[in-house]
Amino acid sequence: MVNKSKIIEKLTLISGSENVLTEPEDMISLSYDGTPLYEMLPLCAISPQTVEQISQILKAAHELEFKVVPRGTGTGLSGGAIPVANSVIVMMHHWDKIIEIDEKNLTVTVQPGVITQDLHTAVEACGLFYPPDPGSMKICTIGGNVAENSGGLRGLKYGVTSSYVMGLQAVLPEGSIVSFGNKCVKNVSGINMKDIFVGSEGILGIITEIVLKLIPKPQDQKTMLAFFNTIEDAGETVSAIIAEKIIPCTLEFLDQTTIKCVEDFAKIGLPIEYEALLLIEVDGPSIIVEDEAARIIDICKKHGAQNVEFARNSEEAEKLKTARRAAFTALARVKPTTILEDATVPRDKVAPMLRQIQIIAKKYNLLFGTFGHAGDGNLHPTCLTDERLTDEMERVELAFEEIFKVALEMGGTLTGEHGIGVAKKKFLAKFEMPANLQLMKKIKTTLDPNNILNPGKVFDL
Amino acid sequence: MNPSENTLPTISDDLLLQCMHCGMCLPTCPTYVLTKRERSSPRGRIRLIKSMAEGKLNFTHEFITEMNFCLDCRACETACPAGVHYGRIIEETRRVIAETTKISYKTRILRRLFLTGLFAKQKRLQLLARVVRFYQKTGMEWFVLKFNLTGLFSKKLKQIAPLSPKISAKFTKQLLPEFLPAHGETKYKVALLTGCVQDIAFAETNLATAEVLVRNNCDVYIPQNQACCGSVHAHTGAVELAKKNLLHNCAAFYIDTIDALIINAAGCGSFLKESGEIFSLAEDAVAIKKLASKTRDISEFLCEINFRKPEAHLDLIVTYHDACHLAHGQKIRSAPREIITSINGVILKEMRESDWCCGSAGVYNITHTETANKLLDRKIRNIQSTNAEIIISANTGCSIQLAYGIRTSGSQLKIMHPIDLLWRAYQAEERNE
Ligand SMILES: Cc1cc2nc3c(=O)[nH]c(=O)nc-3n(C[C@H](O)[C@H](O)[C@H](O)COP(=O)(O)OP(=O)(O)OC[C@H]3O[C@@H](n4cnc5c(N)ncnc54)[C@H](O)[C@@H]3O)c2cc1C
Ligand code: SF4
Ligand code: SF4
Repeated sequence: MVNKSKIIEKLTLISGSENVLTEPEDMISLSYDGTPLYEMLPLCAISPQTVEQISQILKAAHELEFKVVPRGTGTGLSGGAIPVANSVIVMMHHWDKIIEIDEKNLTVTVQPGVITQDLHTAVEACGLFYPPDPGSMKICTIGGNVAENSGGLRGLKYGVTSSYVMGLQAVLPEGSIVSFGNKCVKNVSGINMKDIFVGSEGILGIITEIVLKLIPKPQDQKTMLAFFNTIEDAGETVSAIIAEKIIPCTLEFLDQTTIKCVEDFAKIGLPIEYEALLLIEVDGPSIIVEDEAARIIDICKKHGAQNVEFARNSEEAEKLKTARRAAFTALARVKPTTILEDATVPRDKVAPMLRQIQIIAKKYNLLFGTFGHAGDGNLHPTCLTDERLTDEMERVELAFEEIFKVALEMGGTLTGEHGIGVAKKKFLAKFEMPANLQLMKKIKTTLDPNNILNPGKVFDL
Repeated sequence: MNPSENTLPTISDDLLLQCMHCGMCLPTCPTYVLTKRERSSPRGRIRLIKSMAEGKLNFTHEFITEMNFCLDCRACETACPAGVHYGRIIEETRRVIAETTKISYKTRILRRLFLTGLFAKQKRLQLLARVVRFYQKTGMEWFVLKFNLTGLFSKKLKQIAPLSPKISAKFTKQLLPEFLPAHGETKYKVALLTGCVQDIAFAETNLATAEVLVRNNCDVYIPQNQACCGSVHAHTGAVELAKKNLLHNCAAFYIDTIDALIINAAGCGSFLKESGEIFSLAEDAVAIKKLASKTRDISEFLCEINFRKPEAHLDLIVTYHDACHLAHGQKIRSAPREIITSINGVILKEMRESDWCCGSAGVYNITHTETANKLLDRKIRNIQSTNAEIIISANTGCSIQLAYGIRTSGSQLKIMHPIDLLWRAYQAEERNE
């Protein structure tokens, strides 16, 4: 049995009472993240002020037998930041300093609580570019992005968070402080350890500082919308663009349900009569942008696009992308519960995957809205349902299981960017190769023999 | 309190479940941005209310504090892609809080003063205003402020004193007759709500509104027996009083015969437009719904009827402050800007965070002075960095708060309503002729 008052006393000693939250109102508002259907109350929450304090918190966890759950701003979609039994939330969103933008080395050093969009604004003011742009970028933290290895709209051409992490500092579950990688573009000094923490979902260490790679800001960009009468046409177009060896910066797919919801919210005049649209952006030197845009229009038309429109200026382009980023939440307009998945397939399988999602939705008599980063095969089939209807919820479960199955059969993966967390650990246990799972668990138990840090996430030991 | 009393029966499950806790509203919420505390965010508050509705949380002091800490600015509603009706959720919660809990003695007195005393009868408010004007004119204001004499009355009053608006030299009643015919052809019959605070602090804006309307083919009724719109009552939980005022006004404005009820104070407009929904289950729902459906903000109305663009030239640099109850409450953003930029020579310089609350928020600057002042400072800084000479604001509460901010920052900025500016342009044009 953990002794809550002792724990609070100890944490107060570490960070001061003004940095420890214990009120039931605070606990309730830290009991969730962006994931539907999961919640749990923590014992209390703490805002550590220094790396040493984090180390002390983790040591205290061993001594007083409580669990520790790191948290950014709680936009995660697999339940990574949701408390576990007897846990203390370590809040990292206060760690929001951009420590250094190094224009000579093209790097930026940040604390983990920096909001992704704030980072964009800061580096773009120096003519630099940090590409990862998750839909949640105006509120999610870089620490969360690193812990989930988040992607975004620009992932197709520029890659995901891991492509930009050059170094990081972390506090390990037993309290020691490590730091791997640095501003060196090349660094092979020992095993590539920093990448173990990228995508580790807060179970291997608490990340306290990150060095990120920056690139020059692209000179020009062109944004367009292509509308299709069938989902298949849109899917085929995606595969055709890639097969033509064009890598747009953004290649996003929205089906009709999603288009309607987005238009309902953003009111930007999207036509709602088409079954699907693709939001496509090319960037780079102006001549290349013009050429690629022209070729893409050709491909779209060849594959049945009914209409292709350009954004007239950068504000209009920004509006379109902002509207796309709202897609997931906008789908919540339809039904009380919105459950989104993240199954990902190789890029040549986008059209068949979209077809399968339709078939499965019909089979289980469920309403789906599907959108996603089609260009990198990362689709978000989203079930619009009602958690109060047990019968329907059972069908939802079966449908998702089937979606995962077909995705894996096509050479895909359970999750492209949202992580396993609690929401998908059942499926990881079921579908992952036993030897792979075993290695992951071995790494976890080596670093965290007492299972202190975010236990029960990704897998059960 | 026993658990069965904890529930908020009038907030439906569906309303609360609409929030899928994505967090997209967090960066737009002033109380979250200032505190970085999840419970002071829209997502946090909705979850607290849901927990309360499910019987998992009691009506604790902390809960009530948190609900009252919300500005009800509704920036979260604008930001929320899921279409969560946050305003309805928070106002219903506050109503239940007001009904269920004993409000502290001080707040009760303050509320009584405001609700039954001041706002209920326009006449009484005007009388008080006259006293205040005397006090401002004679320099007693300076004296009282200087020696903190208001402190003798109460701490709260001391906080209010510097906020109290400059009282108009004349009230609407003295400036305008009850009926003004359209210049030229009559195309629309409209009524004008003169507003309580609007009337005593910005009566000239009411004059400007009427003058602009008659120059745009409107017959304008300004009934003297009109009552306060009822928003102050409703927002502080006195729902019955609010309804009484609404019904009184249905009759006073001849709601059946007019084309539109024109409002130039965003707070009143926002409340009136929502009143149909708030009282949808009331006996007199039909009349209130009609009142709601005919309510138009002055800028909105002028753009709808394609108002006449003035020909005069005014050399001015202005910036525009989006009142919460206009931008978030009524989703009106472009109409006031259209009016401002319709005037030749006027340059509109947008400020950062133009749709951030200025801290006025009803009685918020009285009940939460510290937070309100932080927001006001932030607003004034954003205004000053535009180098504009005039702030355009379309809501009385904001104008009073901004005036206070300008005064304390020692700036020379002037405040005008969009309609004041348009009236000035029409007047300049007529002088030229
Ligand atoms: C509307 C919406 C759109 C989204 N769009 C995308 C998208 O396009 N692409 C995408 O990839 N994701 C997307 N997401 C998911 C989510 O925003 C990302 O996973 C994001 O990176 C989470 O960041 P956070 O700060 O909210 O982290 P949290 O949710 O607070 O935490 C996420 C995980 O990271 C861990 N963690 C947080 N901080 C630290 C730290 N300092 N050290 C160690 N572990 C830590 C937590 O323990 C948890 O396991 C979206 C979410 C929403 C709600
Ligand atoms: S109110 Fe809207 S934006 Fe905010 S968390 Fe809920 S669904 Fe998301
Ligand atoms: S109404 Fe304003 S203060 Fe209240 S939760 Fe919404 S954004 Fe925050």
